[in-house]
Amino acid sequence: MKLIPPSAGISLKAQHYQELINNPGVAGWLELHPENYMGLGGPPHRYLEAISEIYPISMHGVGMSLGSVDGVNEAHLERLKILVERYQPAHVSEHLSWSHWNSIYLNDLLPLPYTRESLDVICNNIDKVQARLGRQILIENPSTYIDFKKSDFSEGDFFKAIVSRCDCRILLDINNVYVSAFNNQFDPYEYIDSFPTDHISEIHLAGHSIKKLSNDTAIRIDDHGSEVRTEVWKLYEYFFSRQNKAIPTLIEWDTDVPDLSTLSNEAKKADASMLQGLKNPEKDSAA
Amino acid sequence: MKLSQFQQCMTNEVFHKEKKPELNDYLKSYEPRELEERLAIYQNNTFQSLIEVIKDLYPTIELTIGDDLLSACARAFIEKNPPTSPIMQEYALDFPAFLLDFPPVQSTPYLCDLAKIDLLQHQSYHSADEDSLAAEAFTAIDINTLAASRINPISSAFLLKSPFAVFDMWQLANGECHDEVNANSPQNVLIIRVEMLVKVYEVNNGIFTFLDALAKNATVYDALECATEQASDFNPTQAISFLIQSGFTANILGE
Repeated sequence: MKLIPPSAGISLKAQHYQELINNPGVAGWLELHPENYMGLGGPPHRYLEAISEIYPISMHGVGMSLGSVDGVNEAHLERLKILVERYQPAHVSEHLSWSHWNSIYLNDLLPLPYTRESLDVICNNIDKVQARLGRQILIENPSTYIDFKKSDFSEGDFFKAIVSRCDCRILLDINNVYVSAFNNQFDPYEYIDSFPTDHISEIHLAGHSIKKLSNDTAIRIDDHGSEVRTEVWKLYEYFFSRQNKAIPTLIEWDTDVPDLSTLSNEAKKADASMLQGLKNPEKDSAA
Repeated sequence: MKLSQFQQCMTNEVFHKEKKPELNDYLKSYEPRELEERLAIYQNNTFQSLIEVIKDLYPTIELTIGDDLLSACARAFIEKNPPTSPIMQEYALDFPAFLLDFPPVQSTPYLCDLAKIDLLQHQSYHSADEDSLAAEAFTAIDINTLAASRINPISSAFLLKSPFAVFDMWQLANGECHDEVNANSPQNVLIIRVEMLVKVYEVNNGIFTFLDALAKNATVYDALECATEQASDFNPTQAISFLIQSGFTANILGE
């Protein structure tokens, strides 16, 4: 297993396979969706074998539906286990969300109310996944467009409870923090201040778009289809101003995927911003 | 609040677009229109991502009928066939059959077989890796032994028989031929991946019958006999040569 360096990596996309192999220094590490590699063979596996020889890799699942009341899909978990054993990714991550109910997969990441019942459901599912894979997984905070009437926990406290019960790690998506904060009217900086940052093993950054509802309310849509926005860079730098160490950061870009150099440039910006944040005096006040 | 009830209501709202006033029990109070529009973001994410899955899987159909009509076909398919697995590579495998019965495209029945070419290319691309038997392995076997043997095709090989000129239409849509196509002329296709490359061959009736018989476990001799009976223009030498050159064979059984 190649360890992920505490610097920025990029999403692995099929259109960049050959270029990544030809230019081994173009990315520090790569993240892929395991669901795209669950076929039996063919070019995706041939390329991934070659790429995983060169780069540290991380697997970021979108289909486990850890928040589903009807549990995780056993067949899917088994296929993930086979893939994890074959490619030995440094990180395996999933989302604090749900996608299936009564055998229907919505192919989206839906929000969970942060209640005691939800905590039991997601912890049972995380336990099952970690036991089957024989390793810790990382759980990512969601981007949300609706808020709940009643929650027993803030998102940060919900993560604290999950980590405490499941001994898992956290993937903090700074773009998701910003998007959810804007859409649900909370302060993203206060969120960062009260978040259990000691348990974070990976950061995500991505682009988002802005849409106006008919009553003129603006909504931010987490669509992973553009460069990281200035306000998210600012929050990212603030996050690192509260930290004492660098953390692997992924530039996610899933729609309208640009050329490799654009992704690589975004990764360089993340490295610079992380460094800038780590140098910031805010760190001293947080310590 | 029971989480199961919330997930049931939300699934019905997002996927089936059934208005569920019970959702108000779970969600923060929004103006009705605003709530509808916020929930529509999840509906749009769900449907648009699944439409993209279908467009990626059936590029020739998009080239043939255009983005708008394919998106309408895909949306109608998704509504009747919700995904049951998180693996999108395995979604919409029944889309070709759906096209046959979908009224807006019923006047173009060849779309079903055209979509099957896209689907079989996709399945060939993701099939288990298997080496084709080299030509030397055939020449090392005496002719009588080969005739009595059976052929195990590689798992990336798929045959398609169509009452329509699907190979010509597939080439036309993909810019590989510019001649006028008579849609009602029957054609057969072999789709096969050797190493990393998926190829689409047009095969005549004789070669199709020969390969199809081999795939159904006939001996080489019986497959040649079958093709000779069913196709007046069958050329056994050409068929054996194509069998070797196309990479159809994983191994020879009973040699």
